Amino acid sequence: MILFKDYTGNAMLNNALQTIEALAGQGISNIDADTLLKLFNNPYRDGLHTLTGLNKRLKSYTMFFSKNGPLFNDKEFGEAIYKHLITSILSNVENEGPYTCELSGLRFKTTFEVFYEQTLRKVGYPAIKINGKDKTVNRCWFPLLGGLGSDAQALPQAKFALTVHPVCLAILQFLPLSAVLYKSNLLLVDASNEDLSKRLIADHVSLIKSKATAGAATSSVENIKDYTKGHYLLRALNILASKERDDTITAFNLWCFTNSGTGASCEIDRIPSQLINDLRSLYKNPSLRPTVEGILKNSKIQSDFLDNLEGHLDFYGLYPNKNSDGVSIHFYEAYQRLIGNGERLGYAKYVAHLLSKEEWNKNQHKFLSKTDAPTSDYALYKSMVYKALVGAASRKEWHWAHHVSILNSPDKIPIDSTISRMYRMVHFYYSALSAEDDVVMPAIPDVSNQLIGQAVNVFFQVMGEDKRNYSSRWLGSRYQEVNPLPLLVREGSRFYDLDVVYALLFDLENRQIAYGLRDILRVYLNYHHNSSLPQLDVQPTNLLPIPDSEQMAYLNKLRDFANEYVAYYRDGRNKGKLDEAKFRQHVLLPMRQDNFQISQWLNNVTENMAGEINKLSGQSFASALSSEELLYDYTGRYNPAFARFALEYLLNQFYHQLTLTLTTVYYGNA
Amino acid sequence: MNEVLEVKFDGWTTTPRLPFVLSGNALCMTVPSYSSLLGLIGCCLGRIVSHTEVQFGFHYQYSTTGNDLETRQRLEFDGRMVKPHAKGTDAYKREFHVVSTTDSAGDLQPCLTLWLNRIDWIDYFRYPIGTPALGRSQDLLHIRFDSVKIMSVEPVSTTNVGGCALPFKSGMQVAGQLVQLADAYEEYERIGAGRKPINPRVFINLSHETNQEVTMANLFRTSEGQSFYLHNWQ
Repeated sequence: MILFKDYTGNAMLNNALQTIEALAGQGISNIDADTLLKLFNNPYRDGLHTLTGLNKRLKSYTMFFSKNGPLFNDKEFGEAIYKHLITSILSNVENEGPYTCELSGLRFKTTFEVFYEQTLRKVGYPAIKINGKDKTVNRCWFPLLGGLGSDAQALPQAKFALTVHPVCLAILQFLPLSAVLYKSNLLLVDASNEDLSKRLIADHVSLIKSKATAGAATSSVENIKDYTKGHYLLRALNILASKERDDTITAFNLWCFTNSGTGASCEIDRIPSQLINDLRSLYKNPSLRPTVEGILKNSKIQSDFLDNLEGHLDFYGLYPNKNSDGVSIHFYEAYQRLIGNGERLGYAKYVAHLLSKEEWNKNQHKFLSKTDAPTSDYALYKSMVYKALVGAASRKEWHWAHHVSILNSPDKIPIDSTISRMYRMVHFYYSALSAEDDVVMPAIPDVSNQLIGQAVNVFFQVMGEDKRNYSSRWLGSRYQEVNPLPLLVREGSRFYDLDVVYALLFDLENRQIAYGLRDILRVYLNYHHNSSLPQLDVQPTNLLPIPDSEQMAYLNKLRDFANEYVAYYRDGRNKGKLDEAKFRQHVLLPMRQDNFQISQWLNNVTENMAGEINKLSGQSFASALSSEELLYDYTGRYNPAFARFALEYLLNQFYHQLTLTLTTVYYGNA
Repeated sequence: MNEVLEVKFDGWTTTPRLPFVLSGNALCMTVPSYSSLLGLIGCCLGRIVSHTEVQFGFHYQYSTTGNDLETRQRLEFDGRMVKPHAKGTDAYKREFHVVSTTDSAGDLQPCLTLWLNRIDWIDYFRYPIGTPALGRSQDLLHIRFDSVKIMSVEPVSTTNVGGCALPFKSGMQVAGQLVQLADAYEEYERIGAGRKPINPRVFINLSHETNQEVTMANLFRTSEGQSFYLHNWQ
């Protein structure tokens, strides 16, 4: 009678069935109860071994079934019980009856308890002890299945064992013949790609057979424990590569478990389809295959390699270190493309080329020849890369659009110009490239429709408008000391609202962050240092961030004050007339720099506004805002420098617009 | 069928337990079983719901897994009665799913969405009689009132699905974990006489991260574009 047409959904049962298939040399749908019985008595079909004998010798047996089963727990009757029980189950297989097996779906009428009791009687087990003996299905017969003795609360109503067809328990007895270890416990391979798990199990059966048949007939057979996840994956890749049909979807799970005594435990490593596909794409290429094999066989790095590849992260094992020369450029690039870094490869190679072109002194050369240069002295490496890029920009070999394309955080505003994620990649190429390698400059990308592109274009446009050549200050090595605010006040206020400039330069805590901007400006200015700066149109700002509600409320207070001041200046002091030159001479040029002077100016202006207007019109122009509300920013910090910048910007904006209109500087952001 | 009842559950933790691994520690499946969800539906209705009464599909997602070390009050069945285990309590490691994720407004995102062909049960999910939990008694779930709604659906022959369990047939090109599960369990008539598994078969559990294309019967797409497999117990 054929028992199974297909595999079940139970990993243990499936692995046992696949073990039987390998032993019998035929498919599951051809294996009947007679074949099982023959295999039980002669598993290797050599007339020399029995399953009972092998299970007594295999060290893995007790990890599967513990020492509490009859085979190891009863010297007098154990072997007879075991043999008779399995034989009687396999001789009386049923596929009809009132019970449904929860593990296989097979129906049956004679329970395991009945077989067990009959067996005990037949082998002469003392009748008085039969009633007291636990004959229920438990983990001595099916690993981890639980038993009424100690896992009762996890079983139905705490008094029913799981319903299992007796033949499943007999089939499970073949499982030790394919048992190998994984993470010190037993391995189960569970895959929806049945052919894959079947062939893996067949390999293991051969392995166990060679060990079991090599020694003396009574000697114990040690566990096979030298293999790791990498080994099993490698074998799976090999099987998949040899298949005619290309299985695009192949996921499998590696169970590692033990049912031994009080240490029973189980864990499942899920190997997703994406990871297998990524590995296959490397493995399929004959020039990359040896490296994949080398890594997967290396127990020290294979686990990290798989974790990183699965998470699409860079992997340290690709790079040279004191123990390894790293991988080939070909493998490195294939790996980086798999994890989504393909676009950066061209840049990294080019930056490495620029780094090698630069003239360095002896110590710098020595530093760059270290395999771990980017991590051993990050600051030095960063400065050397930047120097090389600025030098290249001055030779028109590096464009600012290249630079913003390799930023770690291209979406961060205020601009963060860090490119440290490139360093390892750059250094890999620096070590691997030879002088003969042909490296070309990447095409200059168009970044004007990106946030970062709009952000830097605003500054480039303002610089192009500057007639005082203020921008030359960013060319030298002390470029980080230059404050961009005066240029913005003077030129930017002609084109852009305060909100735009504010969002580009100030963070959520109202701190000015201009380091990143200065780095990019320096590249830009060096690129154009032999020619005049391009004159750009007013740039679109639609992608740029908008200040949040708290920031906006504070900016609006400053706007309100600027509006009141303009009204006071025009209507209160000049009787409705306003001279453009006088406004510049009396208001804009004498703006104070010192914090104390700024607060004093604000206090004076507030008082004067109130006094002057009352005197002239009888109406109160006293500001609705106190000077404290302006001097303390929205974070509660005393910040007269910012108040000065914002008021100066707004008043300059008003001044620039005087020729167009004399009405207001208010932009409707209330 | 052109309408279904959609119910969304959210919560902090769940424990969709992997069956038949009882000794040592407990593991989770990537998605809950249909029999567990049938129990969850019954909890909302305040009675045992038979699989013959309803067909449903689901989408389940979780953020990560965690492990609890629990003290178990062990029981023992000596053939006549259930009694405390002679060796007392034990420590038990139990895997669970962390399902809590929040959207930009800080609201919990649904971990489980059910689509039922019983739109007449809408009030049972808006005003559930029991307190729904998925797994252990502490794995409480919450139903947002406005997430219970009638949704129009259309049948499709091929679609992408994930976070669900599909009946598995040999040769199916899907990646997941095979499990042997009963569609449902039925209590025997005599109280305390145990339970009978209904239609045990092979399912493949697809985790929510793997949205895979499948072609099979009983696939539907809602008017909001979400696809699901409606399990019909056949």
